[in-house]
Amino acid sequence: MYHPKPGEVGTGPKFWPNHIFSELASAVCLLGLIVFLAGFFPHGLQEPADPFVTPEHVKPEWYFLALYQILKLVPRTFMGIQDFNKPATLIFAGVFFLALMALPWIDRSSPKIQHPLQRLPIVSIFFIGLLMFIGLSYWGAVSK
Amino acid sequence: MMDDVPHENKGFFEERIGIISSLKAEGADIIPAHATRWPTYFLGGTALLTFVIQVITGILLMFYYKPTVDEAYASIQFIMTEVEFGWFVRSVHHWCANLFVIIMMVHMCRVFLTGSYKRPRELHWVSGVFLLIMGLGFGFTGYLLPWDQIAYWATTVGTEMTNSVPPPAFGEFLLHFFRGGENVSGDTLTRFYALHVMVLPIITALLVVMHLVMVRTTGISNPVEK
Repeated sequence: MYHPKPGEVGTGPKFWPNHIFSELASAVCLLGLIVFLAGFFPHGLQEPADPFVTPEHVKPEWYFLALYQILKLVPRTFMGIQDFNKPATLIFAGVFFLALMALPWIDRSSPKIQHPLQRLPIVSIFFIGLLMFIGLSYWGAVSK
Repeated sequence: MMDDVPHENKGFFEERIGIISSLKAEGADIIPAHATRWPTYFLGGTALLTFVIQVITGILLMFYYKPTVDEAYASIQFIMTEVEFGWFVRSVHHWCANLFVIIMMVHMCRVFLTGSYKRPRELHWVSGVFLLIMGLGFGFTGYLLPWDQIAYWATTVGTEMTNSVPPPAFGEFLLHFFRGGENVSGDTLTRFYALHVMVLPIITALLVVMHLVMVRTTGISNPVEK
């Protein structure tokens, strides 16, 4: 719950109309962006699917590029295990999402400690993870 | 006793549904000032808007799209060239799909940096991670539907991954479950189509409702102070 400070009770903006209005303002900006992107950069279509012709580069959507690059970086054979890179990438993705879900239980510090500079260990882990995601995605986008 | 208060001037529907009074109760709520001042607090609302746009444009595309090997590609071509504003609706669906994922990611970064995932908002965060996974699932299943080269081969590579889930028998089961056979075929297309337009939207809508009800229950998190 939001706890207003003494003397602040009843002075904040109301859900209706103030909050709804600011939400509407952001909605209008988003709609403008979507119309701009769709209008000026319409989505295309490649050649029809041909199961007998493998294209040179098969790239996934941008949000899977980091996983795609990990799949390429992990050795195919490791300690005698064939096709080691596939289960390794899947396990990595699974552990990543489980850790992301577990964040509120990994960081059990007081809810009053909110400022990022007061939570440097977990914030640095977060930023290292974020930079790795961006770096691997970029690598996956440019790699052959 | 109800006979004593039948004419409360509420109106026919209000007396039975009561939506106006509950909305008035919502409107009476005081929102913390920082949540209307900082643009980063609008990300959840805009993410919801992108989902609504995806549902609307998705239904419009379903009017013309045909999920079969012979017709899928041609029906997309038809949408792009013959259907009035078809190219625009499909492009909105494409860009909005990307924005859906981007906005959810940025929203998560904001929630992380303001420590808003902490008690009592742990389940808000967990449902948010599930919503992000739904977004990725939408992207993965939607990628196949145009049935062009990148669609076919990206799905071949992607579904191949499930084959490696241990133990081998289970991996093989998963591969067959998603592909509907040994290879990516028309059976894969109908499976991905069903997941994309029925299964994922229903789960996502339920998660969104949960997410919003929980935000209403606990209220918006406190402003960050050092």
